[in-house]
Amino acid sequence: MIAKLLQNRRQAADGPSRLHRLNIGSRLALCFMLIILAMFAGSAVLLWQFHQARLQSERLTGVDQELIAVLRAHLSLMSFYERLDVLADAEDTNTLGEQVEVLQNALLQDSQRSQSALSHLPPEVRLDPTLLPTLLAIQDELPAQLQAMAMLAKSGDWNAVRLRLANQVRPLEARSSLLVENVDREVSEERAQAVLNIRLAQRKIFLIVPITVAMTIVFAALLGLAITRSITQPLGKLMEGSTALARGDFSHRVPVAGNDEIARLGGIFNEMIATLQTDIEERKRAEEALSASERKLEFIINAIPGMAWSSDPDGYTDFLNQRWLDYTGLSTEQLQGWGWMAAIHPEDLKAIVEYGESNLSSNRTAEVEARVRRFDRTYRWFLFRTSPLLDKSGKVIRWYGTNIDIEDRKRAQEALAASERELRSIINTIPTTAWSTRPDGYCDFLNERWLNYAGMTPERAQGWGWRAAIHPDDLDGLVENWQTCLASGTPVDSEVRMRRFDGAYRWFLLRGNPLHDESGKIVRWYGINIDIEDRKQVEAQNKIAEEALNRARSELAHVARVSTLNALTASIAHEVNQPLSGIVTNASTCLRMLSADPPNVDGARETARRTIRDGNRASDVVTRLRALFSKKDVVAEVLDLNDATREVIALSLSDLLRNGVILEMQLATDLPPVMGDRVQLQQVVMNLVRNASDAMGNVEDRPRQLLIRTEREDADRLRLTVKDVGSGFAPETADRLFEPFFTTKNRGMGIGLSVSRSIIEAHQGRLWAAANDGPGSTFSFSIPCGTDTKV
Amino acid sequence: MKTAQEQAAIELPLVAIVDDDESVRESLPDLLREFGFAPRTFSSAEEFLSSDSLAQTKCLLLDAFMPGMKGFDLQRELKLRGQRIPIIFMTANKNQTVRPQVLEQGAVECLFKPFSDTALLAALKKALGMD
Repeated sequence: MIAKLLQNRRQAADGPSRLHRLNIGSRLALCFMLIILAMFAGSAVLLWQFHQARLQSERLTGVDQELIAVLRAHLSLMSFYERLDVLADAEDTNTLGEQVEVLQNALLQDSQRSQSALSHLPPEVRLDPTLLPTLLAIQDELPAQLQAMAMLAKSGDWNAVRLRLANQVRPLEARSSLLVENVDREVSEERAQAVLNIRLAQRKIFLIVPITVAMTIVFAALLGLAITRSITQPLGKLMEGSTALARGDFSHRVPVAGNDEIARLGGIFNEMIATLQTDIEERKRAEEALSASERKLEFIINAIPGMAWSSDPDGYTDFLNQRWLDYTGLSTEQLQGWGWMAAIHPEDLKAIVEYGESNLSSNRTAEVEARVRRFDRTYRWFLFRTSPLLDKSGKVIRWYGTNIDIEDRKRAQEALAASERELRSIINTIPTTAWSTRPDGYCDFLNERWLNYAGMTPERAQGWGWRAAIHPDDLDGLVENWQTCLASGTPVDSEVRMRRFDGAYRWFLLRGNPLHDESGKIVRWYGINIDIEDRKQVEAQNKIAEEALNRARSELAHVARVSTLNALTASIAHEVNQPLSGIVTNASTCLRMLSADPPNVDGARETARRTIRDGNRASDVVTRLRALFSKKDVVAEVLDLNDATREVIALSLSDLLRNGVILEMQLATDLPPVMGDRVQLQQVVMNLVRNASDAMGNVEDRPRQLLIRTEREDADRLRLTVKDVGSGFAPETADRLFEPFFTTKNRGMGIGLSVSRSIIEAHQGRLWAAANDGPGSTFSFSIPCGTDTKV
Repeated sequence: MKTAQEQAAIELPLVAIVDDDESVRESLPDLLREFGFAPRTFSSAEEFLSSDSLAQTKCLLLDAFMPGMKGFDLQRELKLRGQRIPIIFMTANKNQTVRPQVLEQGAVECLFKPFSDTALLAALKKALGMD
């Protein structure tokens, strides 16, 4: 018992770990089940004892019944024999016969009854072993004896009957009495035994019941305790946890064991705490970060090199940074609201007020400049700038502003303005006209001399108005030149006539230079116009002299031309004869056609038309030739050197052919035009060609090839080359070739090349000769192309 | 007696004109047609040589001085080829050396431009043996 209790105690101690695996409900169910089992056990024991007691009492009853049965049997037997005796004594056969039957039945009945009673005894009752056999013997023997007796009775042998009776019956009687004694004795023993057992059982019961009850109670109590503890302990921990949570201790964790509801609750609780802990830590971190950034911002605002402030939407300034305070030497209380206005220079206050008002209205100005008083009572210029912070609907939430110290800049600006004024006075005093334009050419400055000369006001002349002072003939050229220079950045250099205030025109040299900044970009043009009227006069005189010289030259050229008349005669004849021949032929044909029968009027018309055409052609030739031979002054015109060359060749072709000259022409296709005297240049070409042809006059062993080539020499020069394979010239005579009256020909006059050279030089070109690698020589001249060559 | 038409049906003598001068090539054919010949014009000797009328040419009117192959050269060439075509030279160059030269080479006549139609006709008749 005690051991069992102890065992239970131990179980209770480490019960929680095992019990906690189950849910509370199951645990409680288990507990109740165990209690009920205990109760069942107790009841079972009790019932068993009762059963025992009952058995004994049945045993008792049984032996009593045994006794009764034996007694009955004995009694019945005794009575039977008594009756028999009676009967026997009576010697009444009939009655005996009847009575025996009845008595026998009654005796057998009783015997059977006793037998059955005995057989129905509980097994604990120990029966006398002789009992049943005796009864059986009686049962078996009796009917036979009775029969015998009956027979004897019938026979009337009543003595035999009585004898039989005494012999047989009496022992039976004795047996029966013996049996009764035995049984009686046994029954008493049994009875005593049974009573003893009953007493024993009673005692047992009295012992067992309390014990069982006590055990059940203890067991139940322990179980209940264990279960309760297994519930209250975790609950207690949960409570601790909640208390800790309420206290603010988020690091507490509820110990969790098993996986019943409370354990699960504990787990969830732990999770909740963990989540709370994390949330709280995060929030703490965020708060710290916020306060750190706020500190940083404050630091920045006070560190930036400018004064900063902020005000509410109405303009009440509630924050000024440390620089404001340091600069003005005032405190925040003094400056806040509208107190800062006390630090503004009185003259600038109005501008500030207007600026503030404009900010508050919808018509904002960007910035304003005003003087702010320093702590040492000096004033410095500041630039005021404000910017609103708008909410989603566009309404102003706050104003933010900065003030930047521009004192130095203002000083610099004033110095600059002063130096500009000085510069201006210099420019207006120097004895030349001067001007200045923007990079695009827009003239925004002309000095006083310019304006006074032209008699214009600055408004009239600025921009592009100054063009009115330029001579119309020179204006286009100047403008074009000016545009080119603007674009390319090259200095302008132009001579133009400028109109004086009285209407007279004077020549000026217009010069302009660009000004570059560090990156090389042009930022301005500066220029002067120099009065060169006098120089021009001198130039004009020079020109006249030059013209005289040119005339002399052309006289010389004319002479040279004339000398070639002879050679040309054949060409002329040929040129003229061709159309003349056509005329004669066509006219003859015409006459013949008209004389035919019928007259061929259409054919005649055609031939007449051809006649007229050929006549015109001849006239053209004559005109050309006349022009060629007439003495004319230098006529400068734009001409195509290739065309002129072709004309010359056409004129001299027949001559060349007659001399057996094979002509090759390589005229460049992209030759630009040149400015010059067509006739004179053609003379040069003719001269060169003739010389080349003459040089090959005696050549027999090779083809008399004459090459005429035109090409571009540079970007602005053309070259014409005449190459032959004739006798050539000795290198030492190269320079002398061009001397007047130098000739290697038998019948030459020696003026061709010298005249040619002077013609070419008058065209700003040069004429030279070179010996070929093989036989012959190459004569070339180059002249500038373009239309602005001055001849 | 043949009618004009019948005469036209008969093939007219082919006269070739070789001259680089356009006015000559323009004016001569009509005159030759008036004379009753069939003219063909060529602007150069090379053109004439490469044409297919070489064989049918009964008479050749040839310019003496042309760029490229000259009249004399053509005359020599025809001789070399064995083409015995009567040649009448024309030239505007009244140089005295030309005429004897070509006549020596076998030309029928050498006319100086401008020449009259009668002179031309006489030369043609002489060339074609129609005296």
